[in-house]
Amino acid sequence: MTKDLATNKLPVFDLVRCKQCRICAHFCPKDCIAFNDEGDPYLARPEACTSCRMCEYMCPDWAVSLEAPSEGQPDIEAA
Amino acid sequence: MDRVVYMDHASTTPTDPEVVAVMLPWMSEQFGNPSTMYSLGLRGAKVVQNARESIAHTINADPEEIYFTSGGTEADNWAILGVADAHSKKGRHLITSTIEHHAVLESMEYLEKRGCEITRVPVDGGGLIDPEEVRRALRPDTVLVSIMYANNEIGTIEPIADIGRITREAGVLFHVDAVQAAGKLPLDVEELGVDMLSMSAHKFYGPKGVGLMYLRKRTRVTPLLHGGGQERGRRAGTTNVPGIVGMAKALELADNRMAEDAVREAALRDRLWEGLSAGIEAIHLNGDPVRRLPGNLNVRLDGIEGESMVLMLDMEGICVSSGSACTTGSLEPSHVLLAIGIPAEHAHGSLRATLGRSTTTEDVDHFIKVFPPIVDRLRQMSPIWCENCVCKQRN
Repeated sequence: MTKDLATNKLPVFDLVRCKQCRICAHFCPKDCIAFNDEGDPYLARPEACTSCRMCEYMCPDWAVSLEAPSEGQPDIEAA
Repeated sequence: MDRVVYMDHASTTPTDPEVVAVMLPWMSEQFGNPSTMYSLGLRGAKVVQNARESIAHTINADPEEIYFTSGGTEADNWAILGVADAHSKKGRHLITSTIEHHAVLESMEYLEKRGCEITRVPVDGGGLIDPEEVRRALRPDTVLVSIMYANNEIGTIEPIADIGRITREAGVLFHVDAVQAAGKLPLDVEELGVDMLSMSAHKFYGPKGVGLMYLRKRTRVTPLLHGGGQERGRRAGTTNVPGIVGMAKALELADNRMAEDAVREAALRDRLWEGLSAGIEAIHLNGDPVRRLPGNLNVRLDGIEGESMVLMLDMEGICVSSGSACTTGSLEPSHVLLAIGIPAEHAHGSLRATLGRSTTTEDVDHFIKVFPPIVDRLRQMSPIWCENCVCKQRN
């Protein structure tokens, strides 16, 4: 699978929009997404993320977007 | 042979019984023309307006931005020819991709023969468009970018929102052929940044012969059909009341069960691929392994013609396609498979199975059971198959 189109970008979850349906995790081919005790999604394995965007495409609430990691966040290339 | 296993949902879907039920009154006692002034017709006008509002709500548009058409082909033609005509003073350059549906590609060719310049951006080996390729193709005289949301053959999902940001920055109109995506992927015209979007009801369990174009307010597009003043004077032709009512119901149902259908169909699709690839040698996946529509599987098999596989599977009651239904009968290899780098001689050996709501685990297992002997038989007859063929070493 290619990851050239969104290199250095990782999914970011808008928890205001998210209705915790978990479809993002279901379509993640690398099982990168986990849920905290409140049921909110987070990127548990950024090093495994291929930026395939299926979490973004399948989210019915437009709560996932791929963004370049800000300072302090893991860098997909470095991971 | 009693059993029919339908795995060609990208070609068309069975109309949902709930959809048929809401359509029936508008084909019988409520037959009035909604453009008339008496009650029989006005009831039709009211129900069409309700459908317009329901569809607009689903895709986050205003009802006034929804224009009903005869299907996806008309909507695609209208968007492309209409923008090219209305904006000809600004420029005559349009951008599309190499893997679009023929409704887009042929419209572009029509314009090209009449003096427009067309840039067809390439795709990678999985069928993905790089948005930066679109940015690089933009020119001061570009009037339209037309890119599909999901491909009809290999199911690849394109980065529409990224392309939408680029076209907005550049001030260029953006049309999206969402015929395959509608009902399968969330659609929001604001999030996607599109100005025009085409849909066709029969791809999401609605009736054939009806579709729509979303047209953002204040977008100048020359009408394609001329006649009466229907659709606020922009699309002539007697309003297809039952079709529109059915399409709105079908979209509502699809939207409500989208996640459930996607999860189920993706699991069945993966089961099918695992079963076929375990039981057949020299079988390859066409397209991106991940970024594709949940129910789409497109494979190619060395040494066999796709159409012979289709015919033999039909004898087992399994309905699939080689390439897309729209090009069945063509001797040309699929332009989509060629665009992703598959040589012509291999592209001919491709098969598309598209799963849907009615597909069961038993259907998938039946396919996995009957297909390997068909492949063996066809390869035994094939003049281009040899046991130690070098092509089997590839992929």
